[in-house]
Amino acid sequence: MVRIENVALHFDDGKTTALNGISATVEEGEFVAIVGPSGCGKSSLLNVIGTLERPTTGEVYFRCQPYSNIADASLFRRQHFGFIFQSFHLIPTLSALDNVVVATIGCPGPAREHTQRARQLLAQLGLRDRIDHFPRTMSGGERQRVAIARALINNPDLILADEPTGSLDSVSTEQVLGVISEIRQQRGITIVVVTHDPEVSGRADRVVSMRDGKIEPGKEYRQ
Amino acid sequence: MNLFGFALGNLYRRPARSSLTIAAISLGVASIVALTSIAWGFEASWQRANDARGTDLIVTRIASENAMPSPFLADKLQATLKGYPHVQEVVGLLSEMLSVGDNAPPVFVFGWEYRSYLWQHLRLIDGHLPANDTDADIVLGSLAAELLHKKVGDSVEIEGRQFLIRGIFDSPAVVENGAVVMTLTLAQQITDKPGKVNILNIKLDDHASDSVIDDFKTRVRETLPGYLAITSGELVRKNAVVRISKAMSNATTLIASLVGALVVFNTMLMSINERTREIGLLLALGWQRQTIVKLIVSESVVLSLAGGLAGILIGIAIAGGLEHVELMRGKIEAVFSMPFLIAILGLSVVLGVAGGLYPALKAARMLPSQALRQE
Amino acid sequence: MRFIASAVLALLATLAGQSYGADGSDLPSPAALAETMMLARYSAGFEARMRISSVGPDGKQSTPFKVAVVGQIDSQRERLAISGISPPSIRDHSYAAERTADGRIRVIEYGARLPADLLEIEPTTRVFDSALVVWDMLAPWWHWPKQISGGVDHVDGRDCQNIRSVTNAGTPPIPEVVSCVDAKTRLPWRTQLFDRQHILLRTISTRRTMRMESGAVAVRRLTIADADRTVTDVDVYSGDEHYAISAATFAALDYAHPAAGQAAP
Repeated sequence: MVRIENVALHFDDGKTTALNGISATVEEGEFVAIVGPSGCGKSSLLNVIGTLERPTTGEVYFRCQPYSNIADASLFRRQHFGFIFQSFHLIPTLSALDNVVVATIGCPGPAREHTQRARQLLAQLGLRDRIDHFPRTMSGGERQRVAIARALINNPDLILADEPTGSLDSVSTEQVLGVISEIRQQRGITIVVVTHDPEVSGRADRVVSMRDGKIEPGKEYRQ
Repeated sequence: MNLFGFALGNLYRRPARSSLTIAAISLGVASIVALTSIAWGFEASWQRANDARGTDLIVTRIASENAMPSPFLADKLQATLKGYPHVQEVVGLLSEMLSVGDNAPPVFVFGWEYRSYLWQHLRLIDGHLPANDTDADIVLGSLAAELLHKKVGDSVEIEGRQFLIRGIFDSPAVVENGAVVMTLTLAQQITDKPGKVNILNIKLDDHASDSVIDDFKTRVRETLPGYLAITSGELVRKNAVVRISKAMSNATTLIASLVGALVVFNTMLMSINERTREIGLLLALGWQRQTIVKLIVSESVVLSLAGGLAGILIGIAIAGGLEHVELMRGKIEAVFSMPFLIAILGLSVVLGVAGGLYPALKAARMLPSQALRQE
Repeated sequence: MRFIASAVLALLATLAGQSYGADGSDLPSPAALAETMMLARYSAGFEARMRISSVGPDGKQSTPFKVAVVGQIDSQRERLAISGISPPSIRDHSYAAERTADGRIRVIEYGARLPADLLEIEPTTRVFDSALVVWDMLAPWWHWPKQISGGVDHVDGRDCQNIRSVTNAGTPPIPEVVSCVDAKTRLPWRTQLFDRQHILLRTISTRRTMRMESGAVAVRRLTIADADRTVTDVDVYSGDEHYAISAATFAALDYAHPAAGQAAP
């Protein structure tokens, strides 16, 4: 599904190197965990895959389409990717329902239908009674579940999750992991997760280890 | 929730900033509405004064660019004009702004030729018109009577002379309602302008067409140097104070528009700076850049439209209030037109777009990854 | 209306910038400027009606009064007739003043309210006991031979040129006058009158102007600040640029010339 070819990512006019010539693939339906010490480039790799960053050199392909040919990265993201962030990134002034619906603004179809689908998603994720609540009145696990609903609302092909349990306690972590597993089973979505949490990487089909902007050779393994 | 609902919600959730921005825009719009309506009202009132009198044309001295027509000797000119084709009457008028009594604000004092057609449109509500040309009798407009706290039978001092109020009238023109009217002879005496008038009013016969009016103007221009013949509408438009008040309202419109756009610009720029992470998130979620632009511009248009609506209401209230201020009563009358008010709303929309466009484009150009890293 | 017009004229007068060259090198000479100011006063006949009010140093306001000033000014002579309009106490009470080509100034006071029909009085007489002085109204200093430049100054935000007019001829009541004039509009923005000891007697300041039919700019409102801190406001509310002078207008001046303080025959 995703092929990364010799991607490098430099910042500050080359003074900082986040990715140093990475090549990797992600197959359709796979659950891949990317692990490694802080600052090794895990999140940068996720951003490049998700078109949130443009690589300095190299190319990324999604279903054989090179990213350099994508005219509208935002539209491409909306059509194919869903994002889950460590700090949830919910809009504090919107309710749980509106935080999910906001991802559909600009999409074709009536707003009514998007809202209905959002309600269903939130209900499926156990948040039926919380749809009108605001993030400040929700637990970490509930907030992350709202973020998951938001990531799913546009029927993505690939979920990109950056430390999805990094801000959660053990109970919430378990809840969120359960949700992610369920999604994978029901929808067969491809998932790429950046994580420090062995609980998370333990559920992945394949674990890729990174250090200093590179994939560590010999440290990639299937489970 | 759709884009517009999201935009409205964003404004609603920042009540202090939204209110201040709307207030700033509304003040600018209010000043445009008030000044313009007063300028138009002044023009309309003078126009109505001439229309109400039944005057077809006015002959007056050619004034320099910034002056009112100064008084001139009437008799020879009057005789000449009476000989023009289709001329029914040529009637002199002297107008001055004089203080009437002690400590009263100045009012218009009109001197009209005794028993001329100029008096016919006045509707007497008390008393009667002057009985002859020379007795020290005056009539007051209803507004002037109220301003001066006078009634029929009272006396007033004008330019050192005592006058008896013989009647109180109503006129379709507010400028006459706020005025004192006496015979031309008396007005000339008290202002020491014997035989002089500001204006000669020309009444044409029923067969006068537009071409007759044009011929009259041409004949005056060619045979009476230093004088011009114009319709009452043209006189009003040439009036220096009308032109100045229109120029002021135009200048106010320009300045208020610039300030309004700047206010919106500043508000939206501050807003997007504070919402960097939120905008980065929206881009990450797949919002297209033009949707971000539409969001920001929608917010700025809603702000300026709300300011415009509030400004129109405040402007109407201000203009209406000024009409009742003692110094202004009888002198100004605000005129509002629906097309103008709609144009003001349109201007508000333009201000919103102009003020919100750069911040919107700046927001849309953000890199999602950098924006999400902002605190 | 007048309020709006006044406000507008005040605004325009404030906004209308009158500026000279930065180094003053293009300023007219003081003598040329004095002649310009003289010529600006010429009129075959004018009338100005004024409302005069004053506030004393104790803050007390005097009763306002109105006068009509009629004038005829040319290179040979200047004549002014000042008549009381209101209140009744000054009606039928007038002053006539003239300045002849040889510089002599005469002022006659006359009217039904006076004990004598005609009385020659001092030119520095105050009109109806106000700050309005007949001598000032004739502005004789523009005819003095000694005109000295005082450089560029600013009065109420307007640029003007200082001219110091000085005379030693005879025993004039005021031998020194400093005017700050605008060469373009031919208006004095400020006029200061000094006595022989160079003590400032009074300052006349132009506050508002108006444009006449001829295009000339005239004073619409001025203030006179006396040495005792009385401030007098003079507001021109009506006028006629083409006043018809008749035989009767200055008739009081045409009688024989009695000595000052004595009644005319």
